[in-house]
Amino acid sequence: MNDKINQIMEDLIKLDPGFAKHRTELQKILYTLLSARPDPVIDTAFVRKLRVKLLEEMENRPNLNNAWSRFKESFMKKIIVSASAVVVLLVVALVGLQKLQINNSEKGLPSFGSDVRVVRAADGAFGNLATLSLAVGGKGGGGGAAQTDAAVPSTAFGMGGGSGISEKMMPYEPINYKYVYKGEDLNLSSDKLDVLKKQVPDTQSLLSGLQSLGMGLVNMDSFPGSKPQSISFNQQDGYNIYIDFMGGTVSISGYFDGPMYAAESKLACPLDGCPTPAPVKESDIPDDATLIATANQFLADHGISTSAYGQPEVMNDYRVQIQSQLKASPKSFVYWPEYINVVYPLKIQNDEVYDESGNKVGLMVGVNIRSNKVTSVYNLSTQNYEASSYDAVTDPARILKVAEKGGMYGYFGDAQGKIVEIELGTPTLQYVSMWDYQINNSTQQVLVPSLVFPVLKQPTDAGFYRKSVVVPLIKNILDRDTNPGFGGGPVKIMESTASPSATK
Amino acid sequence: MTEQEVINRIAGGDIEAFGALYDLYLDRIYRFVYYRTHHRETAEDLTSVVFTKAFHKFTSFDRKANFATWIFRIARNTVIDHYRTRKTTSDLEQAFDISDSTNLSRDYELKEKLELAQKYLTQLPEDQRDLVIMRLWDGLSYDEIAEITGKTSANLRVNFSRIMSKMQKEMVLSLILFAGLTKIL
Repeated sequence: MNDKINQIMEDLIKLDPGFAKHRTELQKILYTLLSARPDPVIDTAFVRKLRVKLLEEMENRPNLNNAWSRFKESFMKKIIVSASAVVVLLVVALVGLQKLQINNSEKGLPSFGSDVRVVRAADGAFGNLATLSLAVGGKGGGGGAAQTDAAVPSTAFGMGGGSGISEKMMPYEPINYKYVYKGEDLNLSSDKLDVLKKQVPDTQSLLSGLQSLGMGLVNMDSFPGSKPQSISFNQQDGYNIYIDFMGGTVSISGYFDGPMYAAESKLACPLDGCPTPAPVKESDIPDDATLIATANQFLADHGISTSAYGQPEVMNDYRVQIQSQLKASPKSFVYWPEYINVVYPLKIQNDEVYDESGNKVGLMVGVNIRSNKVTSVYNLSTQNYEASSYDAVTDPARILKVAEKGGMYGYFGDAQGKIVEIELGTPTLQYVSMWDYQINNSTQQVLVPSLVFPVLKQPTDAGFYRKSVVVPLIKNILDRDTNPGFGGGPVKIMESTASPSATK
Repeated sequence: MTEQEVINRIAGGDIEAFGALYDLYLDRIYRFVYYRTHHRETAEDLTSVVFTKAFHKFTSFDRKANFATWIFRIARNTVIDHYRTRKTTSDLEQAFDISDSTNLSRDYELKEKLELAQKYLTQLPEDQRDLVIMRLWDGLSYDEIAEITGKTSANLRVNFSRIMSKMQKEMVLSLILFAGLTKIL
């Protein structure tokens, strides 16, 4: 608090040096005001409830891209004004790119390739994994699970770090899912398992020699130790390339002021408004092979390696949702998607990676149905990790108890309403991707060894879309999940004090 | 993944990425609302409204803008709307008047804390009190407050310094009065 008071005092004195004479009284006033600040603790049940509500909103909103497209239309009016700005941006970006290339070849920078590399760190090197993802201010975080009897029907949900919707709750008739394990006996023999933490390349050296980025306005070398955090490029033929050095990722998206959008929207409409395009029909959607071929071609054209990934799959979950919708209400209007994602599943040492809701994690390539062009590439990421050993849970009963409440973040609605039984099969050991949302707006990815229980048969009339239930095997994390004192949410990694000790 | 990347993802159609923004901002928004309502259930209701609005209005968010100030603006308007629609029972002025218990539900444990600052806060007009709370309790910078309120950063700095000057003079005056009273007694 003293730092804050001093900071405000200095600010006041800078504005009016006369305040210095009254420093003592002002400090007392500031202290009184700051001390009176309420310190509310957010209720974890509310955190969960609101999370579920937002997930319902997402489920009930079939196609945000439609709305986003309409939003983009309003931007069309600005094309003429912004075109010149794009040219200027491109010139600056190209100068920067040339410098980067020169710098790269001259100084031998670390490889940012996509091949998987794992470096071993000391046991427990990542600190306490149970600490929650704390929002700014140090409290709050994601929704967690209350410890309860596994026999109680439960509803489960997930959010963040990937596609997280796992079910749909019907508005007037609550559905409770009762997960029942039908697989073979579990044999959990390993009492230690490796957790992987993504390493972000040191990009400080990228800045060296990039005086031109200061555009002659500032001496960049006068800020020693500064690192580039991100850079984006707007391409004239329609793409925005965003490079996040802190997360080691590259994202590509159709740039909506450019010809890409023009092609999508059949541009020729007047600047005072474009007619709303006809909704996409089922017959407009190409078959999976065509979508995959479009995605493959884009990746090949842009030198994007898929060596760290498995065979591409079209994300067809929307079809299940539409079938479910039509079953419930055969005459309802169906929104067929304008964009469909192709996922290239990430593989770490032959294991696939899932998100906390059981969906495969990997390189995502979005294809626009109207133009049959790739409009987005996400999760294109460097794959350098540190591995550190952590205590694992070996008690099958404990694992099954979590699985039968729907996995991590299992949520218990009121037990009234319809109960649908979901059968779970024998699990496989895979990695689960979790995210640590940091106070400085960056995140760290953590891969946690987990059991992935497949859903044996998806009910088609219960608004249930999960393919699997995930249970992390790391004791530290499971302790958090079953501790009602914590709110759940992504893993929080504490500062590592250990350094890598060996290469795997 | 940075906040900007999360925003780009949502803009690209990955609406589930909104969960990352929820994790980042839930606590700050809840506190922001609570500081102005002093009532847990009300703060929860309004926080819920803020995030639902933010989700539905995301298409109108300019992804090159500052998401924090955008969602705080929604939160501020939501609180204002809340008091407007409940005008017959309470208003934002009353929220800081702890002697008034007629129509406003307030968490009991808060009363003692607020008593400390009441003499300063209740004397301020609503816009000045809002500035003090945003600066001291919400921890927002002048630039952020400027974006949220639509005022200029320079104007806010001057206003804040005037408020502090006024408080300081009143404090000195009350000390003089207190000393005078002691002598008389």
